[in-house]
Amino acid sequence: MTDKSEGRSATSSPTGENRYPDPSGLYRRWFDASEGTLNGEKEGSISPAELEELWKRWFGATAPRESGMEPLWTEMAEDISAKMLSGENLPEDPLRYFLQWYNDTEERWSEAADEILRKSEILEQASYSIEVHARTYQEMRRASEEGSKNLQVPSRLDISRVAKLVVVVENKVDRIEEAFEEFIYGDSEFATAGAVAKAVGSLEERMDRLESNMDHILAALERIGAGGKPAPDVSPGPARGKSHRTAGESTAGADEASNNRANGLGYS
Amino acid sequence: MAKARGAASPEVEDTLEKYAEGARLLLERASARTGQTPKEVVWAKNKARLYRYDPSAEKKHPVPILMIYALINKPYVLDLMPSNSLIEYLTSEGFDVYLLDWGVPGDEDADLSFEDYVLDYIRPATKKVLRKSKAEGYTLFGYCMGGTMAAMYAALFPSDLLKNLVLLTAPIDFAPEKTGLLGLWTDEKHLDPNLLLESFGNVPSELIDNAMRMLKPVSNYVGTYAAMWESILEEKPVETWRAMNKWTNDGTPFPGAAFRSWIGDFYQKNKLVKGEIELRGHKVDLSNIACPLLNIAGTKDHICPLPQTEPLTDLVTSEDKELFVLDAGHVGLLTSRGAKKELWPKLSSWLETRSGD
Repeated sequence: MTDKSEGRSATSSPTGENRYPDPSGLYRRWFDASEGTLNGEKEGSISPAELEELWKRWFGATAPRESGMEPLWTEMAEDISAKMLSGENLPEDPLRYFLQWYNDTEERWSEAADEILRKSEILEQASYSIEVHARTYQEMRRASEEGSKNLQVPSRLDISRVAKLVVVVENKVDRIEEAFEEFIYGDSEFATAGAVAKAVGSLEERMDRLESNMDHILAALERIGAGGKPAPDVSPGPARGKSHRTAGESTAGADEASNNRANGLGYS
Repeated sequence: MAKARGAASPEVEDTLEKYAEGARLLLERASARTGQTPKEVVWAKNKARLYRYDPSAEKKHPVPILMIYALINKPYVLDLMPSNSLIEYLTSEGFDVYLLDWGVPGDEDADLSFEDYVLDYIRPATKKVLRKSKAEGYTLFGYCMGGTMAAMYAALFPSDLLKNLVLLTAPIDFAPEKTGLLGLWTDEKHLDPNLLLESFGNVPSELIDNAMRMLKPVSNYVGTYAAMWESILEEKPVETWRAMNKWTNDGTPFPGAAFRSWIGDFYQKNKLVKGEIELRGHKVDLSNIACPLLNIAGTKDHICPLPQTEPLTDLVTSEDKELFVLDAGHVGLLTSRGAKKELWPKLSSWLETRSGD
């Protein structure tokens, strides 16, 4: 490493080779100084206590004021200082050092930030900022619309009106397409072979019951025609019960379908 | 590169190269190739597109899955990149997967509300899915706000056709004590949704993005880049970081009317769990949901905290229901290494047993 390591451009070495700046030059010097201090290797180095004090003063000077972060900032400073003076192996690359520091402290920073973001004064300030931003935007939009009108050029609002008309037309075409599909496929519930077979089966069952009821009516009419009184219904209980229940279900289904059609949900 | 240039030590050369790679990544920004699973558009309405994934692949399960995503951000997070895509995984497991992509709303869409999205978009999309797959039922899968919309839909249309409901971090209970920081910020005292609607029409994506990032400012503004540098220094692949970074910076505006309702009716008045949400005059009653339910949540989710999600499990009348909790955040739950080990196989096995004839 040369003294020119923090320079901005490549320099030539005595052997004519290009030399490039060390991106971590400053960090390295700081790192070497700390290490030297710890080992007492270099002349003019300061004592660990002095280094700690210097470190604290620097952190104190850079602490974010009135943000509620000062205690955490001081805590971090003490942590870093202790780490440096503990003789623990610190990464030589400043970026690695930062990442290590971030991973160690992220949770505490997050908690502090969360605490701050919940403070009523911060919430009020944020709310005010959004309101100002929204009102400013509203005014600018209004002015821009006016300007476009005076210049007799279509404004953004005009374009969106046209786009809206296109969307409405598109929706109408969709509805026509949907109606065609309904016509071709029927409702999706009956779009498959299995469902169709089920529907036909149910229809056949209802026809059978209808025929059976017709037979009863005919039999009763015949008895009346023969001068007798209509006999009480003696058809098997379960069949009658089943018939009633099914009719009830059927009506309920029809009601539901009719309600759904009426309620605009399109649930047919 | 540096060897040819001169006598810098290998250590410095290596550091320089890594710094350069990081700088390049930061400057290139959104350059990842996302959403690579083959798909076809089977239906389109306004800006929305209904995609069917890998249509030619063999479908082992007769019940198709319809995925509904949130109105903010883009849904390709569900198909982030090859080998890190839930959609790719599900299609490879033999599921017939569809996704309703809302697209990017224009100024003309500022009036679109949840009524429109649920009744005029999700409803026809379910019909298209059934017809396209020639199926007799479908699974509805909702993520985040898409989960809330899917739950509303399931409550309004609890027909036999809806075989399963899968919700991933879906906000349901918006009581202030359950919504975390977001609930505090959206309190009536601090946010007037009408003002934003009147001023912007659609709420700009930057505003939404910044709000979301500020929920965890240290992780989002510093941690994201710390993760990138860590990957570079440790020579790990950065493709996933690239893809995620693209996605987080690729927001969509929030349609104004839907935003007003989301903040006003959901966050500020907590109408959903009270049964007071009405879509074209029809009350959304979550107890109407009776189909099998898989409700998934993350303990580290700060956008939709666990207490906001879990009440649904008690509100529905389904006999077959499960709350599946992962130790993950809102997005990590879906795309992290843990997701591949836990969430994806869980989803597949849960659906497999409920997607038969």
